[in-house]
Amino acid sequence: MFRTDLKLMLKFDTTSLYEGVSNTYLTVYGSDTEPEILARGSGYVMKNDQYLSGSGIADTGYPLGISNSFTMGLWLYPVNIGLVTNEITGDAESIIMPVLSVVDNNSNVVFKIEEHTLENNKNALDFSLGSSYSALTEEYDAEQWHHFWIVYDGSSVLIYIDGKLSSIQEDGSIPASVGGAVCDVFINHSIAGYDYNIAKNTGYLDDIFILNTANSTTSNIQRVINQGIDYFVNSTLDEIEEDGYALYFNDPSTITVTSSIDDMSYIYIGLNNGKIMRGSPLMWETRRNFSDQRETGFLGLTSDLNVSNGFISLVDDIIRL
Amino acid sequence: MADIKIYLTSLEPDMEQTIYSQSIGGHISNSLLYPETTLSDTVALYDASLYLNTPSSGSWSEWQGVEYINIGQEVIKVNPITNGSIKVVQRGYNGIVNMHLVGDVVRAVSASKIFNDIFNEDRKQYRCIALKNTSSVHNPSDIKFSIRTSIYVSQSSLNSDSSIKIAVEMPKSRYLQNTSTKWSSSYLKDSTLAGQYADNHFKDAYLKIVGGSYDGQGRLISSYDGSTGTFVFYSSMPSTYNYTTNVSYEVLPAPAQRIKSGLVSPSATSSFVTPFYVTSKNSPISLKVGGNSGILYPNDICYLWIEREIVKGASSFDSNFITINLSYNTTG
Repeated sequence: MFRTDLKLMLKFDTTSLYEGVSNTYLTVYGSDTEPEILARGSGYVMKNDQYLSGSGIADTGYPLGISNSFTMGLWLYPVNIGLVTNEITGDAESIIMPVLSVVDNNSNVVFKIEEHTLENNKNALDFSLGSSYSALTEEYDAEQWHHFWIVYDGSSVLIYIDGKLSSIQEDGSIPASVGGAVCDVFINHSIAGYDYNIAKNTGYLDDIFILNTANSTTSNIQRVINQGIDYFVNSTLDEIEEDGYALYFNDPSTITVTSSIDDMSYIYIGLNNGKIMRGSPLMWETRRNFSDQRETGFLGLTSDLNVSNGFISLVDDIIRL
Repeated sequence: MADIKIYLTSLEPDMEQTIYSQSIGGHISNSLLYPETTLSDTVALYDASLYLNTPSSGSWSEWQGVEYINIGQEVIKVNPITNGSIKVVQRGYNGIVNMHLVGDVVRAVSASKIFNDIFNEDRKQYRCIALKNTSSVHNPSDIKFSIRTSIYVSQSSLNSDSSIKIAVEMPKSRYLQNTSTKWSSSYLKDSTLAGQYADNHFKDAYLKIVGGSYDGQGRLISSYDGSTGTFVFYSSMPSTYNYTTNVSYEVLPAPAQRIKSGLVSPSATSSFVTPFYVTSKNSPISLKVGGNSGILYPNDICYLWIEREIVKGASSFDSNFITINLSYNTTG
């Protein structure tokens, strides 16, 4: 659908940091030159002593071609490092963490994305266009994945968080165009340098794309969030509709837990019949009475939870009764 | 999106099916597998409130007692439903959290309906549901074909004691709509069809009158004469009807085989039925069965057989799902 508009695609499926449009690789800078990818290619781990550069993208004949419109999206798992005290005013201020910036060949910022850490474990996204405009989103919770979809059409900026349009606090005027024919892309690198309230980002990133046209069609946003970004480059996925029907039923089991293990993506529970149950660590629940302390021992539960007659839930990598 | 909906099957055509365990083939019933409506507001990934449009029935009575709803791939546990404003207990109850748009279909999912606890000696049970392309043939702008349709179980049982296989049965005849050229209490003739279909091509399908004084009246077809385009009924229509004026009619897709009970495996000896398969996204079942093109035109149906098997010695507990995915291209 957007195949001709797509100018950058980073899936972070492997540590090769492959950029899917220009067929180049991002370069790792900093004292730590080993990129780290979450299990099953589910995200890039940003670090204090490392940043990524996509300067090769512009040099290989695949410029971003951004002029007066673009669309970009990414998944971000934010971290919150609280506030910092301004030593001059004594006020508690946000810490600003870089996420992604696009710079033209004169080192001018085309656009950049930063995070502001706020109180109560919440962050907000700060989106800047050129040097004269910025927009701060609504707050969102740290420590859970969020999807951001940002649209610029030459006269307006829209930012969708998790598929819903966010209200934004705008500062300055929106430029009618931004120079971006030949661009460098930086991840977790502060273009403006460092100040007392600027820190590196240590969250996770995944599935970054940039189109050089504006697109705020909600069905497209839904498709990217629910099904990923493969269909940007796979024509066979273009028109395929997927509809899921859940059939809900009571199911049999004679569970006795004999072991448990997690690998960040799933939790596995060994059963006494030699079979293995697999559950998502995000949210998974099954009804099961537990009264055998040996089972709860395998589940790694604390002593005050050793006996239960309720549910077993797998939430955020933790097995709970 | 082609508006494909899932219905229960029934012994007789054009009837409600209230006993879920009797959804074991035969005709498509008028009962949806689950009551459904649509979202009236977008649902972001972490939203804990849902807003639904009032169901077409105008009442939420069918939604009372429902603990779970299904939108797209996601199953959501919810507080009791009394109106269109719903509080979420748990998003992604099946481990999948998605965003949903205004107009997306919302289904009220209930346990102990499609399956029960009665298994045969091989610890298996069978059900048949009908997938129908409900986009309207009466509104040209709404006509949607479902092309290259395939079906697979995208999320199997969370419990390793239970396994699911599916099979597809395509009707022997497809949906047809036209106007009679002659009719009586015992037959309906459409000479425009002469020579198009083989004898008995529409045998056992259900012919229904559309519009006019006899709207909704129908009969099962006992035989079809391909050379003249004549449908002969099993039982006669009332003699009091005015048979001098021709009528618009439709012939529903032919029924699936009907098994004696949910413990009996359907026959896969016909070319219209596939064997049972373990499916996945990479190995779905296509609708290209029995010479069909794999396209579901408006009002067309395919039948989906589900085989559920449990391991020996299993006892029961609650809360499990499978998710069946339909994958298709659309035109219209």
